[in-house]
Amino acid sequence: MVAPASRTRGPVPTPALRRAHQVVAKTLLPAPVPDRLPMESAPPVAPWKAWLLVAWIVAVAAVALLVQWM
Amino acid sequence: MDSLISLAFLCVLLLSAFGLGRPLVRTVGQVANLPRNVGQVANLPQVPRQIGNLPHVVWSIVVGLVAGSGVVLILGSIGLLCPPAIVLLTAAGTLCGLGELLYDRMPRDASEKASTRVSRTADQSRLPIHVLPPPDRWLTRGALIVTGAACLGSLLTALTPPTGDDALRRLDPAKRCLVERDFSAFAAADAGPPNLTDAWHIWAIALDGGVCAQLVDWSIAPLLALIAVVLAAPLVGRQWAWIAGAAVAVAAVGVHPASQPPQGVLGGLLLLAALPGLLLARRLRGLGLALIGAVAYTIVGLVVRASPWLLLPAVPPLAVAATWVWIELRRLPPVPRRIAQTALATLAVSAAAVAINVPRDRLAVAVGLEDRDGYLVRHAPTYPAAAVANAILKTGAHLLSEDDCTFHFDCRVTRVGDFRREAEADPPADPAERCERLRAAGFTHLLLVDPDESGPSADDALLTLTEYRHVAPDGVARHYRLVMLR
Repeated sequence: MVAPASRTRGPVPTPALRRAHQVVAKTLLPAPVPDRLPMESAPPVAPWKAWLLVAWIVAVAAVALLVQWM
Repeated sequence: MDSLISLAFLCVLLLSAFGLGRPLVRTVGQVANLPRNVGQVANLPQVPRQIGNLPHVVWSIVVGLVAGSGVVLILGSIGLLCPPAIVLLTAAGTLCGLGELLYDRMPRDASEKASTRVSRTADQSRLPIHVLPPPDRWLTRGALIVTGAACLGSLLTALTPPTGDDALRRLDPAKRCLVERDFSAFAAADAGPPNLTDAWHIWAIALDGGVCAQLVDWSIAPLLALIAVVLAAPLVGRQWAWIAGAAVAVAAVGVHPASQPPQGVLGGLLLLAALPGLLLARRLRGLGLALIGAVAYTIVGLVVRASPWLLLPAVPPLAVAATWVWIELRRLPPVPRRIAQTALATLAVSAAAVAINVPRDRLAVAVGLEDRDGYLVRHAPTYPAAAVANAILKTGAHLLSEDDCTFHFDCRVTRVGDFRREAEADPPADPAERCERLRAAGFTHLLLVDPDESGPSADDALLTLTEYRHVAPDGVARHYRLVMLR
């Protein structure tokens, strides 16, 4: 005799549990861009994000060099 | 000549580690079956194709270093730590290492060759096609030059005999352990329990001396760089993997637990500057797992309050991530991309410049233009007394030293501070009575510093073996006197 589907189904996961599962799966499982990363067709980074990264890099480099050589 | 001998002992130690680690790696079965079955491990298809036998060599040495250190720690725990035992361990490991190398080079039968060739072809057919653009030629050459300069400068520093307090803080208890045959010296020096790096130092000091211990510290950075290459090759390809290895070498080459002040700060900041770029970079298969491992290792290290030097194994995954950020910089607009690349390159060049800025006197002794004795006489205040003591003192001699720098003595040594803290909190005022009490405590010799001011002056109870005056670089002159208790 086969049990009805309502009895075999587990408890419905809460939104927090579902979200945690998504985070873990997204972190541990292979990324959707596994082996082919064409640079030519890669989307460009938004200018403000690019300048933000540059500001961080330059700031770290400047502080490091000042501390080292002053 | 001394430097060449120390380098030869380093090679013997690493060969011994390879010989100890290779059977263990083979037993574990992770990658050890690859040399004669190249390409048959389904989940590691790209590694053998791209970087040959490098993974097996690197992991064997790493596992062998850990295993050898474990043996040293066990010997010290049961009170059997002595140079002959370590020499025996090294000889066994070296013979195993030579045997493994010869076995790998033995001609194989035709069927094995054929199966290897077939499996390699089949393996290459299912390899993913990397479409990452190769690194620019200037980047490859620049990384080679910067890494070579940093490693060379750090090597020259490591070839200098250890003299400073920073250098001797961990080496001194390690040497004392070989005399005491246990780890009581670490407790006496308030240095905490010995760890893996201390075991490496004990191993190297038993073979050669302090310079070899510093060379072992130096070799960790190239070893970490090779680990980064192994880790990065399946992710970003062989050419970029060597760039990641160069980043690790620049970041870690100046960080020595037993050497001069850390020079790896700039290299570490190089990674710190690049890593936020991950927020803009695309996801790369396997990189997230490597970063999770690195972060977990760092958190565990911080929780157990491990030495910062022991956190270095987290650097290779971070360097792989930094390399991926550098690759992804191509997606930036031209102007910010060039600024970011220039800033990162400046940091790397500065780190190499700091590493290669070796003082002239250290350079002279490192390359053999000056002998180590002359260098140590000028820089180590207790070395002249240690040279005399090592030449004439017998095995059972026990020295009480008023100077904390006792690394160069081969006999059993106790510092005055440790002795007073443990046994003699209130020394008698009468010098003759004090000498009698020291003799009763088992001491046979004394190293007195400025004896006219503070030391015992019962001359009839003391026989002077050597006496000299040492002027420190800051101009402070001190009077040293090595005496025997009659």
